[in-house]
Amino acid sequence: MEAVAAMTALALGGDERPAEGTPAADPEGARLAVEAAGGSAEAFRAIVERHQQTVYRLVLRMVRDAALAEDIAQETFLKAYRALPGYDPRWKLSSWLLKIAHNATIDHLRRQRLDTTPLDFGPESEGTSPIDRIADTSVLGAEQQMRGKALARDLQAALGALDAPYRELLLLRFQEGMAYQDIAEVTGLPLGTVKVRLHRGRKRLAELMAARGWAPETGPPG
Amino acid sequence: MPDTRIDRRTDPRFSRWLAAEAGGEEAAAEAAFARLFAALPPAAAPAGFADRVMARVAAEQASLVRATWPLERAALWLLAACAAALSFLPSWLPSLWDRLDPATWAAGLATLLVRVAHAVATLAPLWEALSRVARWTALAAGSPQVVAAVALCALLAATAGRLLLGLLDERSSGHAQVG
Repeated sequence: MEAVAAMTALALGGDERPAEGTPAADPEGARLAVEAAGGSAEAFRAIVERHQQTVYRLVLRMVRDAALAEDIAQETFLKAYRALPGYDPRWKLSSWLLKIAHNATIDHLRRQRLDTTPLDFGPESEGTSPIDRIADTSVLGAEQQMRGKALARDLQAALGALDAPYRELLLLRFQEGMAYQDIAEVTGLPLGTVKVRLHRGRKRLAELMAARGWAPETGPPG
Repeated sequence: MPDTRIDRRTDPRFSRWLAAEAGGEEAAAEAAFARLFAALPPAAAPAGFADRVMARVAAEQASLVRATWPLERAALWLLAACAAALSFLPSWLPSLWDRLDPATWAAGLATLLVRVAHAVATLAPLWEALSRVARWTALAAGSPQVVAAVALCALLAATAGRLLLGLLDERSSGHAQVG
């Protein structure tokens, strides 16, 4: 829900990023980074605990293998630990970590070509999978719950079928609620390319959903 | 496998998103897509993730210490050797001072010169043999017949070399055409 709120704010025009020379984009993150670079294990643990979900989520949705995602996410934090002395506090710590995760994941995808591996969240039994959990958290009727599950499953599958560069941009924008400029810095792409790819990625996802039988309602949406 | 039990073709979030995309307004389309995207199942880091990261960090630090220890140990040994040498310095100073005596240096230099002279004298037969060879060569070079023979040999060798190169060129161009 936080990501949705952030996205709504971004979509309504809040896409500004602190100008160059601002003291620190993330003062708390910068403080932790300085302490961790100085050898504080507690500070580094705090960094890991603060950002593990963001990093793991991105990597998991990119490689679509839980064990592999954990390995790459751990490697991301290890690389970050080694690179901490060179951390520039003008970067948001989360963006810096996501850039490292991006590089590690892209390297891995290039090596292994795992783009077509099916999504694996581990053993999935009725009523206990993440998809079931999200559907059960509401007070929807049985049909709505099933529709919610189907939507989640198909959306996840469509996202998995999307080309890795588009998928990553959609995840950074709509899952993490990142600004265009931050995405450009994390991925190393020009700002214009980020915008164009996001637009194309959405269109391609719509096509993939249509191929799975999804279509707009005939009446007014409600 | 498609789920045939339900009408899975429509959902309000999906419809709103498509409508927003069709409307052509980027901001509205993004906001609608973000709401649809929230339908994705959550993906949380597994329990104990941070502990495992910290364990890997600790292991790396330990290996780093192990890797740097030999250098530190060598530096310690060097320091200890320097300290020991410094402690002996007062007893060595007089003998070092004695060695700076000009008479000792002159005697040493004379001994060195005598040894060099002996070495040169030992090599005298070798010098003599070399000078004999040089003398024969000079005599041969002074004879017009020998010089003419050497010049003829050189001319023949140069001509043979040119012919050989020409033949090799012909062969290689012939091979190239066939290839």
